[in-house]
Amino acid sequence: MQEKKERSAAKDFVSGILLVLFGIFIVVDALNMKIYNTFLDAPGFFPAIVGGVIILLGAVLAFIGFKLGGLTEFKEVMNGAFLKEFVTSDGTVRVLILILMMVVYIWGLLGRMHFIIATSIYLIANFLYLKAMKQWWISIIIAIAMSAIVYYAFKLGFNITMP
Amino acid sequence: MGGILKQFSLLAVAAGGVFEGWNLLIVAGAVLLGLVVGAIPGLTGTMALALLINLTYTLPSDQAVAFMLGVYVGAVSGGLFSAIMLNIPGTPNAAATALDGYPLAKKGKGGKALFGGVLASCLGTILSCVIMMIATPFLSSIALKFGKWEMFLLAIFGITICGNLSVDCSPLKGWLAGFMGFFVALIGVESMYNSGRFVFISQLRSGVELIPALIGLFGIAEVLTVLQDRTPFEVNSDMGTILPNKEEFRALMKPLLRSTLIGCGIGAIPGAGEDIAAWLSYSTGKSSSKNKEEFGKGSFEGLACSETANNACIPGAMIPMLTLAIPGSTQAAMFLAALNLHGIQPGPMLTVKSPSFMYTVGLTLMVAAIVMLGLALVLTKPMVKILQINRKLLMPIIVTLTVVGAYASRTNLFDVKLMLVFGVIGFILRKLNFPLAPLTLGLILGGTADINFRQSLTMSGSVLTRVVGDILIVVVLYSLISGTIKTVKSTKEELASAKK
Repeated sequence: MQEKKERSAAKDFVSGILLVLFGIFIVVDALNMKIYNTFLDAPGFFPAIVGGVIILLGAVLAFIGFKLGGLTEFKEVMNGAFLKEFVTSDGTVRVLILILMMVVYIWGLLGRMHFIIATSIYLIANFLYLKAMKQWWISIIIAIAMSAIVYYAFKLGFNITMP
Repeated sequence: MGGILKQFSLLAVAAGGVFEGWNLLIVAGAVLLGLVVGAIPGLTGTMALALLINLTYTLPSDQAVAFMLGVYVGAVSGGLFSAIMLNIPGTPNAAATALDGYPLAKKGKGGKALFGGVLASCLGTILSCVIMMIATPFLSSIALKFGKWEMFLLAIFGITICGNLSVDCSPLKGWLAGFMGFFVALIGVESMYNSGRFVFISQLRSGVELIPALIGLFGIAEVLTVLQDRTPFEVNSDMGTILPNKEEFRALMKPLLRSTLIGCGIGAIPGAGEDIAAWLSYSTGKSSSKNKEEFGKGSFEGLACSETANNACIPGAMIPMLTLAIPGSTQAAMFLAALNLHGIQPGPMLTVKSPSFMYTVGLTLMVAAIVMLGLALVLTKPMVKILQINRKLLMPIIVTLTVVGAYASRTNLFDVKLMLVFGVIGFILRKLNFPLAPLTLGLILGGTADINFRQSLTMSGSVLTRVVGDILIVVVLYSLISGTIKTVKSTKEELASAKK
């Protein structure tokens, strides 16, 4: 329980700092926007306020995280076993691989080949990686069949333009 | 008197459309789809709407509205299947349902609990619809008097109150999420001077499209969350009969009115949502019940408290959405996006342009609730089989459906890429314990807040003189102060427990 709390403090501390930086970026960018009549109706006025609020709230979050031991915990995470455990943990690796497969599917396959082929490749890779079925060939059949069903159901059934 | 007669004539007009055969069929199909998606653990009502919005692109607007509302009702109720049979809420709003539903299932009363839950959901929806149809015209007449300053304050109020009410995190994180949503909404060319803001790549000139962003936040992020966990499910197959006896029926009816009022009231608060309504209703029911010791051990009354309230929240969430274009929940936000897609613009002018529309919404929700009860009678036992679905097969297929949904709104591959980016952002924010409801609200209200704020400052020198505006300032301040107190209190508690 204690370990969980400390980790959440580190999360708050780090996300607070990142949000402060994000807020500074918004304010700087907003202040560089063109002023047409007065600053009050300038395109950058409201974004500057939003950025300012994010800086303020982010600083409070970072402070709370710090008071709860976030900095100490963050140092431990970055130096030692926690980071190794996080990076190599089953869940983290799985999520990273799943995101990578989505990136390849959306950036690399869609639009470059037919939807059914692109989707079949994506689904086969996912099913095999997740060991969705005991027999690999059943995964391949389901992947191809589902790709075709999704394509024809939306294109013919609902008259939707497909990627 | 004339006003009441006019409302009745509008109701009759709406009824003519809602009870048209094809629309009824669409509602029935949509409720079934919503129930199925909502029943699958990990798939929330928002995700159901995000996935199934695809199917409305080519439908006429009245059928699209019927479809989305049917899915909405079905998906909110569908969560009770896994909550009762697996002790895993299919949707967050069914979490309180699991407290009494699962013990009932363990006693062999799973069938009765499922049907009782659907019955409570149905009655909660219908009663709340009546409240909604009475309150909306009244609120609309007030909303018509809102100026730019009031609209800006409403957007700020939406973010602050939504942040305050976020479950499992401090208001501070809710507010931060809301302002992050504001930032995303500001990306693109603004309307006053046609000037680009934060346009890092040319495709962002038209701004961040709402539908791909929401599909990413609630679709992709949920797929990743579900697949990160490999815990297998075990379904209790002994359900018993589904019809409750007299005593159980009486227990189900006890909290009906109170839970409906709580659900409808919470629903009307911007971004609050069904899960808060269910928990509040459950805790109120427990504290006021004569049989409070039975709560958590398999109480039909406890089950009805959460199920009535989470469904009563749906019509409640429609009140601010229809009158002010501020969604009462993330599901309502998705519904709002679908309405915009079909050229229907909710807000103060809706009652002027389409005066019967809110009755169409209310009656459709009622029909959906009744259809759901009928489906529950027939399909309760087969529905349980859905819980055993192989999630490793289902989730990648859902990704392909999200791709189709994001692409189809503008037939633009950039939107699909945007969806994935928002999916990953949503997943990270969840892991960092940031609530997504205020972010969604910020995304929707950011543009309104910006333009109304700047115009109110330049067009009028006395923005603080209007009564409604003054009241809203007080409400926003109260919301900020109470949120700050809540944050300080929870920080102190965490500090105290960290020292131990």
